[in-house]
Amino acid sequence: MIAAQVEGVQPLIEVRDLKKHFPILKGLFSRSAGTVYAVDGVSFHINPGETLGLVGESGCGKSTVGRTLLKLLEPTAGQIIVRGEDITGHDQGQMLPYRRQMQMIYQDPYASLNPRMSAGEIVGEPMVIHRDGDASERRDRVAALFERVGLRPDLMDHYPHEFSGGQRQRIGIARALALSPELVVGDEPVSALDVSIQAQIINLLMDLQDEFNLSYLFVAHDLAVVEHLSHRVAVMYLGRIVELTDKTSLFEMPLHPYTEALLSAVPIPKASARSRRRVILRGDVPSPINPPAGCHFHERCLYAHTRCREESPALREVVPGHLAACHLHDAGIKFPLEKPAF
Amino acid sequence: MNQGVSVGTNAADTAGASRPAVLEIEDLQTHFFTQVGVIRAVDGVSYAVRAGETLGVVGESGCGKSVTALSVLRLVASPPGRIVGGTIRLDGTNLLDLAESEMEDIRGNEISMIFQEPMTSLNPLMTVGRQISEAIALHQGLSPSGAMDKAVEMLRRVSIPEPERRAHAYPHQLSGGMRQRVMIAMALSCNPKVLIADEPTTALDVTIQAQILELMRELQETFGTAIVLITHDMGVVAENADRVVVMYAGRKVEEASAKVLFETPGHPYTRGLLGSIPKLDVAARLDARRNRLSEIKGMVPSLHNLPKGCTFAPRCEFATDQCRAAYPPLVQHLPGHAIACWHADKLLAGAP
Repeated sequence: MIAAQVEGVQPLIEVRDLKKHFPILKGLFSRSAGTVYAVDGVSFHINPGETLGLVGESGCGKSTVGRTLLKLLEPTAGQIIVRGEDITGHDQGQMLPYRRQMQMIYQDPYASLNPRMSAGEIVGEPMVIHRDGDASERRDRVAALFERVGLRPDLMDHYPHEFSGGQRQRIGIARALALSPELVVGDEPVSALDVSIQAQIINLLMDLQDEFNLSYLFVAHDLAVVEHLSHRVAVMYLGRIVELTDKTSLFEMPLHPYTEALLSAVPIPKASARSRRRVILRGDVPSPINPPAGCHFHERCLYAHTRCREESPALREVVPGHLAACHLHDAGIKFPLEKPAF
Repeated sequence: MNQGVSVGTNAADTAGASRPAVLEIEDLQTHFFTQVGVIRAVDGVSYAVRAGETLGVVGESGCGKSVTALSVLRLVASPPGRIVGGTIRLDGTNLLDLAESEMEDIRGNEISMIFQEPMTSLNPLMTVGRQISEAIALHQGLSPSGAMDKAVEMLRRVSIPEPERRAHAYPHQLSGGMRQRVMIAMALSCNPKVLIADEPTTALDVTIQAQILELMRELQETFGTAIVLITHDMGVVAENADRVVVMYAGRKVEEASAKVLFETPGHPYTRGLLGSIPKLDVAARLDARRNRLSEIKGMVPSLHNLPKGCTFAPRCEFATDQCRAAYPPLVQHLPGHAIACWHADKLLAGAP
């Protein structure tokens, strides 16, 4: 279905037509007053040692994808397949061995650490839950993890409030690595950090990937950060993937008008950036409660035609290895109209 | 605090200044008197901005960029904060000499400010039309209905669709981008000489950020407003500022035109910042593993326990004993390009 699978590599994880809808409940008897279509039919896979970037604006469903993938949220429909085995219907007990293989790093280093636990206890907790080793083995392992993520092991007995934002994110990373997972989902893991600290954490994430052959699903809104870390990138808009390809093709030849606008909107820290041609979208992202008919993007699209307002475009391979969900390619409309100027 | 052969004044003064500065901050010192000691949040900062010009002020959390702006409006909470030195001149008048009642005529009228999070700076219990008209009625002496008409006109100017209807909306009924447009409408309603925008687009998505920045540029062209754009985003500065001030630990460490700053940054901190940001075009074309981001080691020092000498020295790869002994003066190395670094000449000579 998707390019790299043809090569005979078994993906570490694959999702097919994943959907996550949230009911909106109202009143005393919680009657249903509508549905939020947070994730509405998403398919992708991640190979061992690979980073898939998932980029999009607030409310596009990218974080929900990450959480549903780990079954922290129960999917409404679709399949989650880990190394060939469908885990969609697994209960908590059956999930246990998979939980060990799939970990998460959160955005907010202040909210994601328990303030009443020491840093060492936080990092060691997954090993306690999964009954790994005895107390002294665990302590050695925590010390080794501290060292690996760039924290002095003697800080193990300190509490989260004693650490800076960057150090807390290192604690969160050490915790995610405690069980030697194969997949780590990072939900905006560097967004809350100052740029000089952000660079340290990005470099650390890449080093750890090389060292442990980790696969990442890297969820973020910052396209430059996503392009830097990822091998392939999926662009989401209002619950759906609108484009999915390797990072260079996405940048060199965006095949969806939303990607083109997104690339053009990212401010570039260069003296020459002021004169570049920009595509500025009108309007706001529509609500996922009542998404527009047809292509979800058509109200803001500069190239929309009649079909876009009526029929939802499928994600399909427009050129080899490069998927896009856009009717313009069927209509033979030359796209993009201009290359982004750099 | 300036030592040695400090230039003291603003680097821009010699940079072909055709128009006089509207707002001129000189050696500003804003300190906070706390239980752990005196925190020098702003420690001898000078900058100036002219009509129609955008000055970018960049730096990381805690560098003093926002406290400088709040000092201009005399909005620093006191206690614990106090402006202990320096001058802030608006068209030549030192705002620090004015009575509080006189400051009230300045705020929102001659100098306006927009904040990062529009939801916390708008009153949730008032319609946006009333909030905008309140300032207009206060400063321009218009009748309530006249002020409301002006408010609707301002909403139209910031491209809010159906402004007559939106004027009756409450903040929670608007999207984040819309709320920031309302903030801009409010800030510009009295046609201020200076607009201070403190991280105006940080809470917004990039496509909405592009809309808001474009709007600010258009309005600046129309009204000739001087803009102080405070941000941590080097990309936003590169695309919107004419001149840039880089701050670190309460001080200005570099000032230059945007073009010069991004082409030949002089201060090791500025260079480090630029090197540590992933660049979209580079990131997309190269393998990240062979293209590591350059790191600035360590972290920003705590303001109540600053190192002796240059405050950046503990993180700086070029630091020498001289750096650890004394804070370097801010020196103009080229017209309009001031750097506070003992090794700036060497660094500029070998600049990439």
